[in-house]
Amino acid sequence: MLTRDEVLVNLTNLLETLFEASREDIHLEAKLYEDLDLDSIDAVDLAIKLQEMTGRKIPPEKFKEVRTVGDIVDQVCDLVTEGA
Amino acid sequence: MRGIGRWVGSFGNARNMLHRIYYLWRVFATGLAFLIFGLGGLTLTFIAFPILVLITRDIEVRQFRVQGLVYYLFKFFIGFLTFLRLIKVTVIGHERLLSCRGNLIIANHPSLLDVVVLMSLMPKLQCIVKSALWNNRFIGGVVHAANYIRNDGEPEEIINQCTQILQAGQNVMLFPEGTRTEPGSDVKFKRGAANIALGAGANIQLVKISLTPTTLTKGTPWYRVAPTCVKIIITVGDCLDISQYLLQETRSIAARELTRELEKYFIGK
Repeated sequence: MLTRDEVLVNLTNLLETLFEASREDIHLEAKLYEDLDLDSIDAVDLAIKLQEMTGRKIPPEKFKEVRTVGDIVDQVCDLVTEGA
Repeated sequence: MRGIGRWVGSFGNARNMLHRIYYLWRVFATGLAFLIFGLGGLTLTFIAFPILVLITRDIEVRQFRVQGLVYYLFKFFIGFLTFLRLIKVTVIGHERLLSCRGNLIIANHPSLLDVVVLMSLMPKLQCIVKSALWNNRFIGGVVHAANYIRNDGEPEEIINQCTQILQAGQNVMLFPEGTRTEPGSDVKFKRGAANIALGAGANIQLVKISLTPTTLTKGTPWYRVAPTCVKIIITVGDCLDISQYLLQETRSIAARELTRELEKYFIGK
């Protein structure tokens, strides 16, 4: 099972390779849209990648609420523990 | 000598006076132009469109007819502004615009006028329009009947809509700056334009618009008119082939690269 730290590491890699985010900007409080320059289309791509990573379906209406990197880590951890 | 001095002086006053009269004339003519534009919109909404709706039952045919009507009316309106000497339009490479099929037409957006000018140059042009205009009392009816694309829908939905239209061979106009911008200001492009082009596999026709002196920029009231005839130069640039961006495996990276290319073209970054 994924720990919080592992989720953050995986997410950081995704943000770097998919969205050209620089590693030093990525921390739990970083805002996806303002600080990391994602847009709503990017968020859809990210949700798909996270589903691949966790093997679980992320409800789109729930994923729309995420604002920060920390929010995503929380959601992914919730998903993984719910399924466990 | 004193006589001459006084004569020259009064000549200067007369020139000042002429300037002032000329400026007032331009304010008056601009007001008149806005009035005619507004009345035109109302006439269309309440008279022309209901008639069109009655005689054209097919929604698709209707929307083309409305777009065609908008084209001819904008052409007339630009002719009217030119006649009043408020503006002078020069188009470089117009034939390239006319030969566009299924292209995304992308331009910078320095003034309210550029939309009207561009739409007067291409018949049957689809465009993405600010959602607030649907509730505008003067042209709400027009954007509604022409079935233009609202900018406040779900992003994927907008991309799908544009893809259908582009793949049917129609052109779609879009201002990636998102809003009117000061010339030379440090504007960051949104990636919507790139995402649409990549989603639809549509090449991008680049159009550069320059206005001197500037007028009707964002945040200036309509009566703060330009002191002289506004020269509008529309330069139709290259058609940007996006096939190399489509080869890029990751969509989000391709969209970023394409957006940088657009920024380079328009802002020279």
